[in-house]
Amino acid sequence: MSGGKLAIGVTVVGLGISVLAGALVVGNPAALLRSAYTHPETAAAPSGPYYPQPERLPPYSQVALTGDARLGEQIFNRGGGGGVAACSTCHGAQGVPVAGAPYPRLAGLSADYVAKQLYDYASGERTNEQMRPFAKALSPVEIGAVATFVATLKAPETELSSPAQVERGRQIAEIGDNAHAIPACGACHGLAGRGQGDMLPPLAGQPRAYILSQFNAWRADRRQNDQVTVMHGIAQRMPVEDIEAVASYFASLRQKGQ
Amino acid sequence: MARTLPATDVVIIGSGWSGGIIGKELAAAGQRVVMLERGAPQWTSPDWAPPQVHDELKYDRRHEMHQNAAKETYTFRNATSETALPMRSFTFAYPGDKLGGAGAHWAGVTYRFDEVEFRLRSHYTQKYGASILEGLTSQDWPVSYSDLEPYYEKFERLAGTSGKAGNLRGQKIVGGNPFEAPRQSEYPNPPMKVPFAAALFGESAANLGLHPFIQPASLVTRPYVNSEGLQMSPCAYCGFCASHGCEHFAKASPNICILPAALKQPSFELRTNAHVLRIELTADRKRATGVTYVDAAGEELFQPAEMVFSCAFAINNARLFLLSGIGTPYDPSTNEGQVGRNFTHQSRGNVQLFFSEDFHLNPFMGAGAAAVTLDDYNGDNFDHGPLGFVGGAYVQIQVVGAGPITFRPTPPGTPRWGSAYKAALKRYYNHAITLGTSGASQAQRGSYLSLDPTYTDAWGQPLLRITHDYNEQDLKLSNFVVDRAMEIAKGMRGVQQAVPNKMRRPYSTATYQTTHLTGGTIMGDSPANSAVNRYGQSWDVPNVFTVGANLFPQNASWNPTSTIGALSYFVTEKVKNEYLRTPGPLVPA
Repeated sequence: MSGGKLAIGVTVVGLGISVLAGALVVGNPAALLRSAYTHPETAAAPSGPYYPQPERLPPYSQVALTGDARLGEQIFNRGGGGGVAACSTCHGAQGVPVAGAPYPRLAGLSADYVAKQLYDYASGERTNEQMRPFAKALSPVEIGAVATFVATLKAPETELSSPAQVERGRQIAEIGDNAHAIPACGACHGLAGRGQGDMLPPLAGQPRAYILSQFNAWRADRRQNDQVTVMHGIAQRMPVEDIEAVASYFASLRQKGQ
Repeated sequence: MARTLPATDVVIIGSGWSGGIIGKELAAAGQRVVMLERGAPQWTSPDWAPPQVHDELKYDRRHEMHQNAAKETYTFRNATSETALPMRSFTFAYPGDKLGGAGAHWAGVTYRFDEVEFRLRSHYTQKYGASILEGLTSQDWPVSYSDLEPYYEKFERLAGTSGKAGNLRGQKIVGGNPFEAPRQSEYPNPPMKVPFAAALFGESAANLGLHPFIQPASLVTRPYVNSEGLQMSPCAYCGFCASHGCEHFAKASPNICILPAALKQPSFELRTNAHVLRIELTADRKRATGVTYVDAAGEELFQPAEMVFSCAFAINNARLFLLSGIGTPYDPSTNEGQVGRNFTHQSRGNVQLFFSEDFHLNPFMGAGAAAVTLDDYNGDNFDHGPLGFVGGAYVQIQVVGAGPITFRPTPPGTPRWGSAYKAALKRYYNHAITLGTSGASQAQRGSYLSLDPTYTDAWGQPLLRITHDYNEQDLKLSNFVVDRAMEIAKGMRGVQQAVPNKMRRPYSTATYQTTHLTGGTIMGDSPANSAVNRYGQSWDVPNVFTVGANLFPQNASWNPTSTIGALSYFVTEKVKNEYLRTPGPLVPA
């Protein structure tokens, strides 16, 4: 899809793009130039009559769409200016941290997702003392670059079940809990926690400590950056035992062959 | 012989929106309530868990959440001169089955009716002369918009309705519907996101001087705690909405918005798989003694009760009245009798749009009610004088999702199979959408409900027979709004081909129209023009009430759910404040 990406990059600068509709995914930039298309947001004169319009493409998506993966690889492996440590130090050379470490696996995340997290660390929407200074030191171009590189790191295939799995955790992940109005984790995060779409990260194989820390962050409003704003409520409503069960369950779905 | 159960105060037939609201409110007021639901229980967890809840074959094709036509269906004919035949599967409308009823599989569209709708006959007669309603049996409602306004608001707070007010206490607000009746408060949640195709529609409409707005929807757009203290989560625009349950706690349903609150009441009892056969009456047919139903084991049971609320799917309430001998069946030859009268559906028509290949609509990202819509051609918002019909339609692009089984758009003339069909499907899947209209439908003498003389259901009871065809008025309306829709279509960027589909006679049950069937036991201000009074109370058997779209004297263009919800609260309030103290007719006959 690199052709498509290029076309989108061109589009973003010139015309703007809708998030929900994702209106312009074309493989051929020449075809795009021939097209009479302009996005309604840019087409409507500000003084024109009102009509409802799609959301604008957020800045993190714009930098993710135009990121330079080679620059990103450099920062990921060797760090960057302003004291930015190499991402691989904690998150592992292939975006997979060493077993037992509390850091999240980055392999398998989309460029949009990674760019959004870095923007949100910098703004404080997602609070993390280790990440904040790095995110603040990175320029938008560098954020786009790192995000684009991370998106090239293939997600390891994870197990569909495990002997150590926590049954209660599996239950919540697969069917949810009516009593607390908890949707199944899989309704968004995909089957067996393998992630879904660009903005719904895989959960399978993430360290138990990391999943717990995120639940705590959502409960305490130290993290409030999920796009559809459901995680705060879900984390608040889930009993502590269920949070632990879910964290143990996803952590038990390890990378295949581990 | 039915086994008699211990008596209760209130029996509620059906667990949809009206049953749920009335059941919860009366139980909270101290009444012992037994709710009888003919279908199985179903809850978000486990019944609507992913990924199976997105199974189109199961939910859309095999009608998992719809009335089971093998057990109970309708017979249909266009005119009294024909012999009605039973529908073997549901296509024209989807009556609900199972817990929550149609309220569990609806799309979430949540309109209030406007002020004119409630005084339809007097308004149009006064403004345009009596001839505009000639041959029609449409009439005024016995309630006004302002009677229902506080209860509309109550329902919206229950359902977490999203939208933007266009008329707040008389103040017009840009972004909302400028034609709506005045609201006392803003919607509980902000409007939904705007799909690309819907934005293109809005742009063209605005250029024509029309007033597009985001359709109000009971699909919540942010975390929401409803008026019952129950939690809802935001819509994910998954694209599997109507005919499916919602796995996200986002689409309002009785199952997540009211039944959990009812079940917390100690005096509330829910019995599922309980199929009601009839409401039992005393020998003089002036008082109900309870209901007879069949349970999951097939045993016939009699549940004695002081009050009975018939809250089944719209027209199924008329069937229960007919099976139970409540009131007098309607006779179209004399135009006398009230039960079964003024059956209506809705007036439809649409324009199929096919776009150039560089307009990628991504229609799979949608929600049951995600739409940009307009009311410029609705109600009496335009001059009906030269047109010869009453009411109107909303015109919109709604992006509900585009599952591979149900969404297969191809332009007219495309072969139905083979490589040319596949090529067209590939070409148009992401470049086609429907510009829809939903119009009012006026009641007429020849459209009514009765018991079928031949066909019976699984329990040996006569099926409900629908006799219906479009009247001239509805055809004119459809013709008019489809022409207006074509004007909007022609101004939309990216459209290569626009194909108008106008409504044609005869009315057919072989294509889906809407699930908004109305009438049969309409409400009115006298026993001479209605089966029930303004509180849904039977004129003939005052301890029997019914609430649903069966109360509507004729059909509005807008979707019925919000009005059903408002009526449920309106009726309950009166019953709590008056009937419980002094049982008897709430309106003198």
